[in-house]
Amino acid sequence: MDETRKRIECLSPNGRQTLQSLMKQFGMLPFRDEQLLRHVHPGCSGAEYRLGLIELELAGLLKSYRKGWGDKVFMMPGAQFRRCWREVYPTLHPIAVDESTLQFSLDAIEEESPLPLGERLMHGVAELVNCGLAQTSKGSWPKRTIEKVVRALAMKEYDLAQLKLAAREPSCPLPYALFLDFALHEGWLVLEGRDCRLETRRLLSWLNQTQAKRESALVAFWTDQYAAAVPSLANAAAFVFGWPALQWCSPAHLEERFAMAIFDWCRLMTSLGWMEKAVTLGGQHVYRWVVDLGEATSDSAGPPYAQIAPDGDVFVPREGPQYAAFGLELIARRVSSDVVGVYRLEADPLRKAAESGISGERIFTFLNQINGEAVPLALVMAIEGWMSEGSGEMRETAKSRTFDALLSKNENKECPAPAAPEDRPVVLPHDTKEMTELRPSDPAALFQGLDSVPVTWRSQMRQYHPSTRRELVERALIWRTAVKLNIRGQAVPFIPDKLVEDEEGWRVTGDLSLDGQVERTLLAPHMWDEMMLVIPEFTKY
Amino acid sequence: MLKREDRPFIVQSDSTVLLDERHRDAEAARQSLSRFADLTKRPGHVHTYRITPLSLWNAAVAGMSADEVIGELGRYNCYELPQKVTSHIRTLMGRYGQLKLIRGEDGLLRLRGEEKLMEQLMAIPYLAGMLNESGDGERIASPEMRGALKQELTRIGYPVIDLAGYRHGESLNVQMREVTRGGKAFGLRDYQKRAVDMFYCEERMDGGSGVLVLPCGAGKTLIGIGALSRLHCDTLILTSNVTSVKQWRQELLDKTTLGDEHIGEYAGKAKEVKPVTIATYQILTHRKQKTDEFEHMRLFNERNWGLIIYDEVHLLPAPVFRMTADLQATRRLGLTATLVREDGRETDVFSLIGPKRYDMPWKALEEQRWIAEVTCSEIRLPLPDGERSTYEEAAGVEKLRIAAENKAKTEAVSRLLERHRGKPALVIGQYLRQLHEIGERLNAPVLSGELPHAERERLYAGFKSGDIPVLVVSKVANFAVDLPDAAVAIQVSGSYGSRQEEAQRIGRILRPKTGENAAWFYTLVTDGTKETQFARRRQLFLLEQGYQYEVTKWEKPLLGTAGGELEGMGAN
Repeated sequence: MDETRKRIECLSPNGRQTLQSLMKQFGMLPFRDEQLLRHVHPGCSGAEYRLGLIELELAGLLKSYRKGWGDKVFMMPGAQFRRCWREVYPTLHPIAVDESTLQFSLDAIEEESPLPLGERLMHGVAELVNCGLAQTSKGSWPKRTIEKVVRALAMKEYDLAQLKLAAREPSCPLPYALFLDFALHEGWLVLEGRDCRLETRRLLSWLNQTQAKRESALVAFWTDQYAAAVPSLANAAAFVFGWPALQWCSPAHLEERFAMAIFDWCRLMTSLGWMEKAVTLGGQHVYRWVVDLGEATSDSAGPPYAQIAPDGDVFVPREGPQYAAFGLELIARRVSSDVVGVYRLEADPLRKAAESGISGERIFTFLNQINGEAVPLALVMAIEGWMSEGSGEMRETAKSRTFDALLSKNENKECPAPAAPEDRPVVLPHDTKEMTELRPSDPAALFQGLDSVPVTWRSQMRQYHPSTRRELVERALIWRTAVKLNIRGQAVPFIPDKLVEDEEGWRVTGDLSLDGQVERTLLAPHMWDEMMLVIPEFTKY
Repeated sequence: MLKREDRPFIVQSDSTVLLDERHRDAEAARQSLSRFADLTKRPGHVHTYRITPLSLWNAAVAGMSADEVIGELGRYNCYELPQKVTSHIRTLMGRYGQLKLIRGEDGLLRLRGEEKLMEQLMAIPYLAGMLNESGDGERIASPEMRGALKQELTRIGYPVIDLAGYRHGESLNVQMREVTRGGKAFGLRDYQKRAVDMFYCEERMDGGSGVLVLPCGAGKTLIGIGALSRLHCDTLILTSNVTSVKQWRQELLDKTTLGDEHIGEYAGKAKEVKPVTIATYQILTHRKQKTDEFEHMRLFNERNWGLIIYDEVHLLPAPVFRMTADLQATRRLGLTATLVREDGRETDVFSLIGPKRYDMPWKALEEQRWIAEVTCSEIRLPLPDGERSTYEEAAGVEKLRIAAENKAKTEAVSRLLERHRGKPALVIGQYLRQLHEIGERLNAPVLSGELPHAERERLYAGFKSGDIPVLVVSKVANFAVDLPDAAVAIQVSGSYGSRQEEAQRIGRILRPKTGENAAWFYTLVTDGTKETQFARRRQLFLLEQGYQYEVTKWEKPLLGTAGGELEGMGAN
């Protein structure tokens, strides 16, 4: 059984309630307990929620941190959030929509289908290599490099705006920051001061996974990392993650705000090439995944990785390893990126490859490798001719080094995990880099002074003097807990939240639970008979 | 992006289809695709098709529905069909049939469709200028607007079913012979009969106009004659050059009951208008000054033509398109080996000539031995030292000429002909000096543009009969010359022209041969020169057509020394 599911099933009703509330309110954002207590479910006390937080920490579903001398904050790691969501809302599903109810317009058809982001990241890395991998003397990226990479990424600023994220470097466009963030996270790029190195082994290791694995891992990364800044988006992203592949879905039946967030997230996923959009005959927008987010366990296939046609076209199936595609990015012209990527070996890119120090011999070794058989002779002769038109000067460049590393196929499947970067290029609200993780609190600490109050206050219903009643109420307020009141012979829970005083004396406001209903009430001490403090039981996970 | 099935093709989201010919189901998939997609190229194992608006409308004309097309794609596709592609198909095919053109009793044209669509169309100023209000879901146009209306509607994505009918034209008593005038038994081949049937479409009101696509060597001329004989009417035949005019005439006389008095040539010096008149595009578009009228366009109105045949319709010049727009009441037959036009006016062919009615795959013809199996080879020759320095010092077109006129080529031609001794061969080139040198070395006549037509006809006749085993020809061979028994073609220099010229050169040797049904096409290229660039372009074209292509180096020592062989002859 899934570990997260096991832990959630073992939670108390209080723990589960707390989990639901904090997920809805904060998503993956850090929060203080006071913030959570403003959104306590009617009929639940703050103490119950506080105990719930401790329970969740002990269950490993939540963590707490402190930054310097600041407040203690709680947070749910991204992947954990996504996994919990499925278990907390098991009955929440989108409406499945049949394809026969969809309408098609020629304008929509003519729009360019976005390439899956994984492909674009590969193009971005290739552009980075083509630009030389060099930073400026001030340690920033050259404008030309950024422009080329951003063009390859083709991310729409409009769709990214909903994430409410910003690059750490103000002058850096967000798409470039996101690209660097992932590249550093995966360890393809290693920044050493002003130098940038391409760690080809790790890049190859990523490229050589199946497309399904690459893209589904990217979807999970974006869901866990970049949906964090906006709680409604985090919830939408987690919900949408669970939709089945290739099934048209609509969230229109859900609560409006949530539905809007879902549409926003789906729009972003579509722009990143992972979903498709359509419109029903009734004018409703529907979406479906074109990525299988299930556990893609199939291993990548071995060579041939591509097929080379005698006319110079090279076909690279996208579902397989992209070792071939990446190499071709450095020596050929990309004709199209689609279900099958198509490259063209022709004069201009090969001349440039020669000028960048890539020898014809290396190119033929690569082509024979990816093709699984000898390249057609006519094409060999054409390539020789084109390369001879280059400057003829052999030199070492970032591009030639990368190509050589690619050829040695030194991908180490046991690559050690990449080191976390100094600073992430994207400012993320749940970045715990400067925080100290804390241990779960002792539940007893929530009820300071419990030993000093009479046991009878919390063990039995009794009549008290108004001043003592006030004391009990004040204790309940401090401990954010409930009291039980005998009102006209019925014992009813009451959660006080404020004591008010005026010329008539003192009264208390709070939530009164009566016959299953919770109502905001103002009570004067004479309005009940007996009372007692309610100290919630702590369910240790 | 999802699970891959073991099937023969992959549909890309831009409506390209990549077919792997090695797959066990490739042939079935190919046959399916040919009904609604156009083959773009077929180098190597992966053949590329495109599903275009035209290919879908042609499928609709042939009776296919969008569901059928999508079903066929789904059957052979490795992955889930991209939604963009299914949307594309449904929307475009859904448009076929939405508009119909009918002739009213008053002679006016009636464009009929849903009123909502009519209103959308009337919002387009150019269309509104051609149409007048009538009733709900109907607009009226004058008969003269028939062509222009269809052209514009097709251009904006709304093909029209033309049910306005045709005039029969002047009757002509003509039948196909069972025995040719030359005394040979004759009959159309099955696929030729089928092509004529598909064009005529007797049972359909929208039949009677369209384009037939058949590879070079498939006998398109005979199919044109078959259509003419079926319709029994005065016919105007338009073709690309004078030699082709002669060829049509010759075939009409040989294969039909028509006599000299029925056939007129309207080209060059001749300006005969007879029940069957054959003219060139060139004469129709001739004018002394750019501001003058096209005086010969009146040919279209000289007789009551019942049929106009556009031979090599892919070469139709723009002015002829314009004239054709006014001839929509006359049946129109387009013949071509490729619908791809250099100027991209395929939609005009569709709207003004008619939809594709028949498309015979090259491979099927080869397998049925209706055309020869061709092997294409490029032979790279070194430039002799003495010529190398001249080449390096030259500039521009002079460099090309030096490379083309490489003296080593003459020796290579001789060796190649030796290899194919006894087979009728053509040596084709661009530079007359070189051609004359080769002619002298081989003791073969040289056929060039300088020769009068009569002399050219004499040399053709000699080549056909076998009296002349080798003919050296210049650019004139680019044109539609009928030399049925050429088995070998050696290209010593090219005009480096369009793809159509390359197709025609191959076409010269594609006719089926008795005995060994094979043909060879050689191109001699000087290594280390600009010629190799043009060679690559040619190579690409031939590869895309699916021809086997080999490249070898000529290892013979420099001229003047003995020995040397063609090394490395064989597959890539």
